[in-house]
Amino acid sequence: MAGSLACVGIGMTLGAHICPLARSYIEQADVVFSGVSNGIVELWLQEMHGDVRSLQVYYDEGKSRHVTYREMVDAILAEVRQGKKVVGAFYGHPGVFAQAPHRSIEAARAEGFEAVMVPGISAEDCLIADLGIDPGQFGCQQFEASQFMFYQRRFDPSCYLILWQIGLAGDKSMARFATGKAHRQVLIELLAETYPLDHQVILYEAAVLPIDKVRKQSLALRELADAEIFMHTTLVIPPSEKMRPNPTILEKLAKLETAHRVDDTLIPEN
Amino acid sequence: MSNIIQLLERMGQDAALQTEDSILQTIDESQISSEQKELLKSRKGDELAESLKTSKDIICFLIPAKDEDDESENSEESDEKSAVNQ
Ligand SMILES: C[S@@+](CC[C@H](N)C(=O)[O-])C[C@H]1O[C@@H](n2cnc3c(N)ncnc32)[C@H](O)[C@@H]1O
Repeated sequence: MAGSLACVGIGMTLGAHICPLARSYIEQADVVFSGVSNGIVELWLQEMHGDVRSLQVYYDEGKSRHVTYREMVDAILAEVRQGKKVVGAFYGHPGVFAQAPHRSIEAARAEGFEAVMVPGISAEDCLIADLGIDPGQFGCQQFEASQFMFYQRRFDPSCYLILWQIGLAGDKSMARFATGKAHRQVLIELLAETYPLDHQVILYEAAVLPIDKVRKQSLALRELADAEIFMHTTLVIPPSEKMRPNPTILEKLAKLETAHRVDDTLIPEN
Repeated sequence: MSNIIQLLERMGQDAALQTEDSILQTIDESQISSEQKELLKSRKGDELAESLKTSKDIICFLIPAKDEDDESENSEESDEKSAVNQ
């Protein structure tokens, strides 16, 4: 039988977010690889399938995550090549700030296997609900925190800015599980070029177990260095400036409107 | 399904179990050990994980800050050059 791969999202909160299709892929799989952030969630997956293999074994402090992700993809692909129905079950959305699911789907397709991604409810989805913000109100940009630091990004303080993996901000080694105050201070300095130091930012943590309390801690940008930040913390920076109108475009549009009006008057009514 | 995992799953997906009172009542009525009941009620996820012989926090990083392809400075440079030459 031809092997196949489905990377499915199981959402953020145990029991709450998994969609029927993702669950069905898991139940019908020959083997399930799990990439989740909580041991109890892993136990929950084991209740759905008898052969759940944790991708956690590939992480190691001091080992480059580039290597880790490659090994994850290799492990998944090896089973697909053996003709198995393989599922990668990832917390949140498997395609959101996650490399292994995208890479393994690409690799499986390149070798001629069927491969699909089933979306899940991501940390961002929960954040929108828990913080009551709408990315469409002022717009929203999001970056991986270290990437945001390493590269000169053009970002807009009149929209929301979401920084993922803030707990690893500034990690050049790719081999740590956390960076500390000094690294975060560099990020604060970068942000302070655009935002006032007393600008209120939010540290967000969604509930992973249904008993977890959601963390939505507001604090001043300058206080970020000393704040308690974990692997699963996301930083949300609300806009600090008003949206500025674009007179050039508005003028062009106004001209179009006038031209239209003239056109309309030229068309004879029937 | 083990009782505790089953209970957590229900708490996650039952609209009637989203308030403090209903949760407490359901925990009390459930078939789990009194130790686990206490951990659930006091929302001690870490200790609950310990009692289930697993860990609460496991590593959840899934993305590198930059692509492996531009890991070496040389390849970045040559990319830039070829972009300029095009
Ligand atoms: C590699 S990304 C994976 C995101 C995941 N695929 C998703 O759909 O949300 C890991 C980052 O997601 C965010 N994250 C993970 N768990 C979270 C939680 N419980 N609450 C808030 N953010 C979380 C944090 O920014 C963390 O550093």
